[in-house]
Amino acid sequence: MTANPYRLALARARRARGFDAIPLLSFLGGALAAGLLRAEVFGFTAGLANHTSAAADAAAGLMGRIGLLLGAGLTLGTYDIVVRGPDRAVLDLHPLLPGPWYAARVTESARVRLPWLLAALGALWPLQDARAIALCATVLTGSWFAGLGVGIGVNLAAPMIGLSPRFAGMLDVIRGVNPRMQAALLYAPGTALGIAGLGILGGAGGLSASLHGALSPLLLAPWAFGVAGLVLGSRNAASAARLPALLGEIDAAYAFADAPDEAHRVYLQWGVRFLPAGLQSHTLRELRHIWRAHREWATGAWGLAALGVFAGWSGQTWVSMGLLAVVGALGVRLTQSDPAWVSEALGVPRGTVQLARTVAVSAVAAPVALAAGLAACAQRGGQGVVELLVLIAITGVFSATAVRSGRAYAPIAILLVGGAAALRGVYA
Amino acid sequence: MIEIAGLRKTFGPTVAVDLVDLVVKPGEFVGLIGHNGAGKSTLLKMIAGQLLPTAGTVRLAGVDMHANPNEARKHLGFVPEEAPLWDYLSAREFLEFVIGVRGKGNLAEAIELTGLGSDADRLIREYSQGMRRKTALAAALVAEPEVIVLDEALNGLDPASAARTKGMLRERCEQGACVLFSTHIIETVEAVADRVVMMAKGRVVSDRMLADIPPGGLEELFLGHVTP
Repeated sequence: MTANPYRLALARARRARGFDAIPLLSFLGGALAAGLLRAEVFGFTAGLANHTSAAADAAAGLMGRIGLLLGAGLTLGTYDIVVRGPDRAVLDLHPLLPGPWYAARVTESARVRLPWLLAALGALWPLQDARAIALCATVLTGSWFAGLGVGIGVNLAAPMIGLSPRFAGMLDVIRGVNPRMQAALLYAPGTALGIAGLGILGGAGGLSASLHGALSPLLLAPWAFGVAGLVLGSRNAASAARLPALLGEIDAAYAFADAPDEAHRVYLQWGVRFLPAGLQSHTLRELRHIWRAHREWATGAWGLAALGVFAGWSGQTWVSMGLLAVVGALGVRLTQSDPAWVSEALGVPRGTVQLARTVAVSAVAAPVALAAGLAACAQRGGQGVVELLVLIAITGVFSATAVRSGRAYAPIAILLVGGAAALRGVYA
Repeated sequence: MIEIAGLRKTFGPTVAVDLVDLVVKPGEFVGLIGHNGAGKSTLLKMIAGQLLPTAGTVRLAGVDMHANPNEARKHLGFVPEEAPLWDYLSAREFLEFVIGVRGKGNLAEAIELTGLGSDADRLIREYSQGMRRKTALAAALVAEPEVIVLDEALNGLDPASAARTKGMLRERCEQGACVLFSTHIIETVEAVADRVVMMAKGRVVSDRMLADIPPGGLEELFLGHVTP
């Protein structure tokens, strides 16, 4: 028998599911998206061969943006895998082997999020210069690794903070209507993205220096952040044994809230009344599902909206679309964590469930589209209004795609970003 | 051995479990009954470390569950009402996983416990509710824990499986383990328990040896004590 039962179980479950084409499709999707975006974002490549500083800065800026998208996807996603994964209920019944569990979680998180990295690497071919490709790949892989490592480290530190009486006062201040212990988990993805983002931007700075001069040690900044995050996580791995009680407290708190109506209030519930009558109850169910089981996506969307302001202001529409693609992945999570038999048993048409889920995910992603679109309006007037409308429309497209495509969402979303940005270039 | 002292659980103004003191000694087979919302599942979840007590302590085999949950879980076999399993493993693979995590247990005996025969090599996602429950029970028992806690886990089994499971649990008790199980089925308690604990409104309202209750008197006692 293997020394790591967690890893063995995951490998067996993976084999039982059959061949997974998603990593390959993601790589190809990235490559194709880069082709579509070639005119829009790879115009600087000719300068790379001559080591011009303008080309180097453009490449670093591009890699920094892609790196931040990777970091956002990783830090949001690691919460689902590390803290509230689908196997939580099974693991909670048995003693935890912290070392093997942690090793298995890290490799599983990396495996599940590998398609995003492959898509990013697949998009590097327009650079054409081998050295530039190698340096950019170092930064992108580092950014992915930083998101993974810091995401895991911060998400695993959060339970200890949530349970510690020392932090109770601070958590009460920031928790709003959430259970106190959830506040630490709730803010963990945003904190992780902020920390990983420093490393990613450092790496992009190192890339710029390396492309028009000697290799800069800053290239390794995201790697260093990732390693630090994993070390932090390994030190807190044993704290995962406390997660069952912590999550149990959080979930139970919804049934017995302090205020009589607190248990029933959910994010964006106020908007349900404006929907057609046949969709209201189903959309409300999806919003409840999001608010009670995937709340970090709602808070994370507001964090990404801040990045969307910069993207919208600087005219980087494809970055805004990328941010929307990241939030859209919530649709995949909702579908994976919702037992389909409930709707089937109740006779609810699948299309209605999917439409309601699409509406709910779009509503959660809306702050990103609005932030980027309004910034574009402020900067570019009428043209910005068009961008705003396009971003709102594409929010629905990403949400609907995520709800319907499952794990195939990653390559499809990347192609959508590339295609939509290319279309924008054509019509600009 | 389960030692519960002054256990209390509140959710805001709602008192779910109110100052429960309970000891289940090695070799004891204790049935826990009460109406829906009496606090049984909340109590069992605190025993299993899946909820934090507002006050009081839970010790399993001498280890405080909430001070040292990982150590306490080594002594506990727990089957919650929903019996969570990994759908993309077979029962054999799942039990191998449990043995690996717990560091002890005999796979052949565990498969025998499930009574699944050759079905033990099919994916769990293809199992009926009863087969899932038998797999969950085997997973809880495979490492021979000193404390066995079952939340409605004997429901949903066919009569033959239920009889075999009860016999197996009785055997474990004779070997020194203690069993605390909740159920709504009075006949199950009468058939296997040594002692019956009744809960109502979060409190223990009756704690008696079954031998002290006249035949057929348990239902009457239940209705008298715990009707909501």
